Amino acid sequence: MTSPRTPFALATLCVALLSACATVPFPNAQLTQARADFRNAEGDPRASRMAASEMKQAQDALNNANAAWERQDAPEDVNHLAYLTRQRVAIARETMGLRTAEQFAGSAGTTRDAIRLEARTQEADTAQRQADQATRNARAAQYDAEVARADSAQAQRETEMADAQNRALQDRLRELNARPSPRGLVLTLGDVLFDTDKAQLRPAGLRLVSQLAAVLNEYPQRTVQVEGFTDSTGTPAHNLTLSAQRAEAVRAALQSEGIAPARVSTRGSGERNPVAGNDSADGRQLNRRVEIVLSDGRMLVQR
Amino acid sequence: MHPAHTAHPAAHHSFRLSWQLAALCAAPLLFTACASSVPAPTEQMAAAQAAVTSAASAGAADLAPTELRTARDKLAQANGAVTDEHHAYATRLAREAQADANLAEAKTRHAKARKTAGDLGEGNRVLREELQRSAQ
Repeated sequence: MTSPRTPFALATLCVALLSACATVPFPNAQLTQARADFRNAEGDPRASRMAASEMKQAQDALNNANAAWERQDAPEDVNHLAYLTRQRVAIARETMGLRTAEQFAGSAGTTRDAIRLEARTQEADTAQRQADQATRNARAAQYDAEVARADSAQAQRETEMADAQNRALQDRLRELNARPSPRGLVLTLGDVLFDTDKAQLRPAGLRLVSQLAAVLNEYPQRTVQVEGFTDSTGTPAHNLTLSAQRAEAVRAALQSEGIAPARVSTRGSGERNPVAGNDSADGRQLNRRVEIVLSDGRMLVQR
Repeated sequence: MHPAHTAHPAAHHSFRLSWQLAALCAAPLLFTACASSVPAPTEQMAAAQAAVTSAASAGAADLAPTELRTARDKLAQANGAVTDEHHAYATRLAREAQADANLAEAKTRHAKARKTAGDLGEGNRVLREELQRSAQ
């Protein structure tokens, strides 16, 4: 633009400029933007529901701006009102966001309550299951205890019975003059029960063996060891043979009374293990003998 | 954010015209601005100040610092304009400051609610996970 040369020209130009501004309202960028902002916010379905009063304020602000523009107010006034409109629209948008978040928070609270209820229900179920299981366990334990008690009572009875049987056996054997020894109850058949220097049992000896067989038949788990002994008269070989034959005679007699041979072991020990001196007739007679040792797995006969 | 006030009355001096033209054109405008006898925007200033205070106490300094700063700047400028007796300009500044402060507060409240909702949602997610774990 060149400098005007005369005041008249200056004044003319000035008036022309001012009138141009006043008569042709060129589009206002701020206002255009404000209108677009408002339209966008209005298009949000939440606008009327969540930010009605804020949208109303925005609408009023826009109306003011539009009116100012149509009145051809000064651009700074139009800009100012457009700016206010845009801020009001922004406030409405923030309010929609606020209400949305609040709504979500409300439903989250409801959801939380539902989850907690579910958790409590589940806890109750679990507790019930655990209680049921505990009851079952307790019943099982009670049953086990009863069984154990019964077993224990049974064992007690069995022990008592075994003791009673053992005592009865001992009583019976005592009647046969059996005596306790480290090896078990020992029943001694004296020399007089055999024929002299023979393996043949005399009737009295057979009676004693028969009584013993009766006892053994009542206690089938008992085994016996039959061991023959002699005095020191005669040759050792002869004595061993005689003692073994006498032990065997006792086994044969027991077998004839129904005792299985397997329950009876025999041994001839000759003149070993004398129970008296061989220097007197009485002593020698005591040494000539057959010992019947009763035993069982539990060695109860030793008591 | 650019304040809408590019048109301070004094800005008319910046037209690239000769000083005569500038004087001729600007004088009437200056005159009208001063002569319009716009009253001091006491009410608007008070409203803007209240809005700024409210936004600040809502926590806008943390959650909407830009908007709050703009509002404060404009309020300060408005005070300056009142001192200079540019009442129309001060009025516009005060109104904009109020709108800016309102927006700062709305943004702050929105951000807080969003945080709360997010926390609740996260809490529910954790709660549900725990429930599923303990159900197995």
